[in-house]
Amino acid sequence: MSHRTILTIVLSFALVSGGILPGPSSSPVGPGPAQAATELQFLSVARGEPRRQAILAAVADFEKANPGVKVVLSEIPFDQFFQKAAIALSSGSGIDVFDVDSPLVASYGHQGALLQLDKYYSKENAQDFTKVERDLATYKGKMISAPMGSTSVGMFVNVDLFKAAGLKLPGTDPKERMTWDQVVELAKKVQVDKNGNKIPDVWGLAFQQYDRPYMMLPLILSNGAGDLSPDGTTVDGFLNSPAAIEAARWYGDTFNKHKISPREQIPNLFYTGKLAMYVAPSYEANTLKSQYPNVNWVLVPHPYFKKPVTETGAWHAGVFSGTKHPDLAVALLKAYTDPEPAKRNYKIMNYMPVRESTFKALPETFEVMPNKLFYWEIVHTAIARPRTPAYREYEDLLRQAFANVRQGADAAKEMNAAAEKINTQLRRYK
Amino acid sequence: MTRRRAWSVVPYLFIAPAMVGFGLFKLYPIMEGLRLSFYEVRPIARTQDFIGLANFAELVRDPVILKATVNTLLFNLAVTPVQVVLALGLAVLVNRKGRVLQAFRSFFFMPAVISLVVASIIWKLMYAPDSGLINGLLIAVGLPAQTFLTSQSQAMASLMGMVVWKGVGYWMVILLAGLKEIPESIQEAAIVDGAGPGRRFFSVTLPLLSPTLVFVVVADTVINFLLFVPVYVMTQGGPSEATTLLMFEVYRNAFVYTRFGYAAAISTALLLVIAVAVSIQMRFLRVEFEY
Repeated sequence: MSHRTILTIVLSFALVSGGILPGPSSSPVGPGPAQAATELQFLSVARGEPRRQAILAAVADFEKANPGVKVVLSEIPFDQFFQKAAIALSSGSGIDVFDVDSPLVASYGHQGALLQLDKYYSKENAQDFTKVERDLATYKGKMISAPMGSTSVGMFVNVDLFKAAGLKLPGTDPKERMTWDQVVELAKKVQVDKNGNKIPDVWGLAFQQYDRPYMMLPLILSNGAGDLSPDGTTVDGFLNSPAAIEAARWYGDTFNKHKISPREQIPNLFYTGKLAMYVAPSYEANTLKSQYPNVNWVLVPHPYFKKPVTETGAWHAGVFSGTKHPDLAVALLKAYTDPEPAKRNYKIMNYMPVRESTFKALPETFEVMPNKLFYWEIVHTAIARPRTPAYREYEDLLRQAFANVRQGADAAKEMNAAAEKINTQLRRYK
Repeated sequence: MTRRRAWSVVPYLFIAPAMVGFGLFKLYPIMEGLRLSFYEVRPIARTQDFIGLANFAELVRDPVILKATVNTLLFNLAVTPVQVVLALGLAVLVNRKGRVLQAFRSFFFMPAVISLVVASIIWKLMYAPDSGLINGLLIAVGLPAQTFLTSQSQAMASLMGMVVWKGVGYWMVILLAGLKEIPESIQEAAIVDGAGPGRRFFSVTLPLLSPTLVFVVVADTVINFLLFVPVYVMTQGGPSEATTLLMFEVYRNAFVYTRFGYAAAISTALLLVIAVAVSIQMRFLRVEFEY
């Protein structure tokens, strides 16, 4: 082998290595370390200024109650958070408290990354979390994370487009919940193609998140299928059951057969009045109110096949099991997620609450629409995504299957292939 | 130590900083990557278990990696020759005097200065089947709309189209520099000998351009083997793994599935594939002409 060839090989591998290594993590943005005797590192996902303000308020409370202890807040953009959090935790960079996407609690729990919290929480405090959030925070019978903010899902309907099409608006009461088949029929009627080029000017239906299990699992579960075996070891007979395949096929049909949804996501479609029905999380209500006040909308219950099912869950926070200051780190966590901070968090961030006490303390918010409906769904129809250490793999592989179905692939083939691949990943965690 | 011997050390001192950087930031990661490919790594639990060749055994049985390998090879077999031939054609075209041709030089080079991420996003929007610019134009002239990135049959070709567009201008400039290096006196001598444009291109220009051409072919091959951004932004390897490439699988296994050992094994396999491809190119494109 010549010197030139050897050099080429070395350079090539250097490029490979360089290409996959992550960039530097975000710089601290909170109070500086100064001359503090003790310093806590808080690793958070960057999700806009309100969330940052809520964290800084908790940090201020904590530092006031613990003189001499300083908190350094680091923020990482959402799309890099999971990767960089894993790197930060594994590199021993001194993380004490960090944000946890609620479906990943089991994954972190499996890796022993989260400190058990039961001894720090009174029964009353823990029971104040809604049941679905309590379940999400628990791994192998132990509470290992503290819920911080949640979501619900509903269908936003453009009132003006329905009026223009001469259609009666769907009811807002859960008793008037539409089936997905009724939604398809309405979408066909409200859709507008002015110049007849088969590309609608107004689309009938769209999901806020294409293909992602957050929005796809309710379809499967609503049609009577399951998402994971009770012992968490297989998805065979669940994700590839006839009911799950039928639900996936329905999803593909909205794009390819009924042609009521654009096959590739078009940004801001509902905000610009070009979409009649928009299945979206609760935080979209805040976006619409604050940024698109001209859109005339109403929230109606999440549609269903055989039984109503809605998705929930968003963000928890946890204490890294390797922290050198577990008591202080838990105190910081509680300053962020205890009942009183939870009420403040809601007022600052508008995330759906995770505590019953927050819902009850704000009747002016949760007894009127649209939050009244979101709250009703959280209590009556909400489910959490499957609690498995392999959730990252599960989510990615199921998302790929739904993306393929959306792009015209056979639903049975895709769901069977996804089930096989997910089972391979699940076996790694036995 | 004599003065002469002392001076002989100086060049090494000059390259020492670069070599230290190379060792720290390139050579060390290479060795660490090779080492990790023999381990099962649990990053958050901070454990590494030696598993011998298990990652490689899984690699050869993994249908997704097999598909990614085939895709990567096909991608290179199609894109690299097309890019090089087009770049050569454009370089010859703009290697003439004239204000209009000079403007074309900048025009052809423009895609090279656009960020690959931005270019990928723009092309994804242009390829969108229901709202994209390309289908809009096709429909406007009475042609049927295409599925582009959303169908298994068209996704890879669509991805290749974008990558060719992005790279041609860059390689054109490198080849243009090579063309400028060819002494005009040799071309003039060929004209005096009665050689026509075709003969001059194949008997004078191409042989004398071959050192530059070899560099372009090898460098383009390596870059195309390591392509990641367009796949990540435009297709995520889909639909049904139609566009997944080895580099994307390295990313997916390392940072989505947090399987660093397995990802390192894929990197090692990719390195071997590149080494074989480049060795073949070196053998068949041996430079035999000097001027």
